Amino acid sequence: MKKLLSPVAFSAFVLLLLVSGCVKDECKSSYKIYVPVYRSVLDIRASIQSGVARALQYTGKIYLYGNYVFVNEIDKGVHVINNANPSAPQNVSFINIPGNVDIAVKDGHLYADSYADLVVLDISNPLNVRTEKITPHVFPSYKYSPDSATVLVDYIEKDTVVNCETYRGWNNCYQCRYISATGVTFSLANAPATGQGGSMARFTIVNDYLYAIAANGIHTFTISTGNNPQEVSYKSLPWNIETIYPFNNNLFIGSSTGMFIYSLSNPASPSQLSQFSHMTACDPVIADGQNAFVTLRTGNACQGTTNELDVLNISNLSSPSLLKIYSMGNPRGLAKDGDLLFICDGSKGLKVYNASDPLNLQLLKTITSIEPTDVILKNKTAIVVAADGLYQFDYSDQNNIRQVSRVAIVR
Amino acid sequence: MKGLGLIVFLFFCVQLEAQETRGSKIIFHSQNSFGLIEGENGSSVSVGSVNGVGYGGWFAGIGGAIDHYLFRTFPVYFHLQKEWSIKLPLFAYASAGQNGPWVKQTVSIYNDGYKSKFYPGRYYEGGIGYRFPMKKTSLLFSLAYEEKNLREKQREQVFCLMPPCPDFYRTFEHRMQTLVLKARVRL
Repeated sequence: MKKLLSPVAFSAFVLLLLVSGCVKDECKSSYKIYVPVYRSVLDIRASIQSGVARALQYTGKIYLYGNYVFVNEIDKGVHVINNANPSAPQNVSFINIPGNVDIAVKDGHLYADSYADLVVLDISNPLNVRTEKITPHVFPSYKYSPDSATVLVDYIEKDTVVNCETYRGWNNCYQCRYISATGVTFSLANAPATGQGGSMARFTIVNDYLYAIAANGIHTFTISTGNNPQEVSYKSLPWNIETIYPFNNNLFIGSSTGMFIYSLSNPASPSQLSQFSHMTACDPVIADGQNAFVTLRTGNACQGTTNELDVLNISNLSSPSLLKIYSMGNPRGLAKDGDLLFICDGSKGLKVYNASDPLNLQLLKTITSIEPTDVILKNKTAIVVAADGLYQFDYSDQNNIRQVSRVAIVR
Repeated sequence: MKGLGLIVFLFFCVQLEAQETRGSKIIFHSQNSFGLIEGENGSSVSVGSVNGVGYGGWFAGIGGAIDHYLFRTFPVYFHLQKEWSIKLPLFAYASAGQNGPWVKQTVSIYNDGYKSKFYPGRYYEGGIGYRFPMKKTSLLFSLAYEEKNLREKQREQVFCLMPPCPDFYRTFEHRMQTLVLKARVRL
């Protein structure tokens, strides 16, 4: 047997070395490619109208107006949710607004972007909205063709399987992969004059002015006439402006490089009071009388390297100063009601803090079952847009914050 | 090539002292293996164990192993082995089961927006070998073809100027085909 062992072992080892080159590893990558679809600008403008309710799919910004929650469907339009009973919200209609990302509402007029256009809609009857005015080419958009006659409106999905080496060789081409990713009539007669946006909003209304941020500036429109907005000023800002939040006659503007405070002492032409710089990251911002709360997060859209909550002292608006940094998971929108601070911490869930002492935030509750993006607080109800739906939580008892409803996303 | 020295050592230095007799009754066996894996993307070592029963020239059992060829994985499988005869203890075997990922999720160190989740895939192994009987144990050497599959789902937060940004998903089906040289001690 000993005699047999050596030749067998040697032969097996040689065979292993010789034949190992014959076996190959394989890797197949499956994903979707998106074939761009262009549409004429005239057709798009003509298609802005309301229709029957649709299921939520890729939700974006949320906006509260009276008993109604408006939920943006990215690049598609706006879902209208009758929220008179937060325990049983009703998805009552969908306003088709191609290219829409941001909205704001005042006095029954809905202001929305539609690619580069600013659209004003009469929403007194959401089942039969009426286009009041379209101001063309207010917001420059990369989606337009060079002659501005057509616009990139959609992508046709195609499932594709390639080997992994081929896929990785495409060098992360942005445009190749972008995913844009029963009638019930009601009246808005009792709604307040101006609605309430989330902290991720890029549109906001203060008195008779609509402030809309583009990638590198603020457009100011007077809307005193409601259906006929007129641009009265434009202020340039550093690149990558992300969010706008009004508070006490000031605008708090979040950009990827810092927070800006603008005074509205002259509302037609906001003037910069100060700037607080931070590391490159996405940064929604909110404020109360003494403090501003800024969330910084990482990710492709943000190019940042840190996930944190910065608490700033803004008692002197001309010189905001950093008070404390709290570590976070991947924070996005936030909102504050009294001492309660709600933070949408991405995959880490919705976090609720007692913020009576900004230097010592006390975590009261973490709702980990959702991946929230933004939150609006109203009447002790937290309206939360998350990856899988629109949630509402009752926080009238801060020791017993409970979910009262969910409008699910269907994909 | 970490295990090369040990494999060669096992092959050439083992002391064979006696023959094991094959009975006709059912006997519990434990086969504990050390293997050298060679494939297109390099080499790795594996350790594993199969526990089961033998009857006549047959052996069947449940086994598990761990290796780090491309990904650290741990196959769990059913193992069936047939030996030709006592005089010429050549054997063939086949294993089939599931290849599980050791690490369930990874994130990019460069970009927090990148996340990969790993899911189990199929596992196959088939080979031939020779058993060297010893006093109370046996030493088995085998050469086998092994296929391990692993599914990776990658999620990437897509760059866009106006958040919330939709995520981008893609799926990788990894199929690792290798040759495995194993030395096993049968108890």
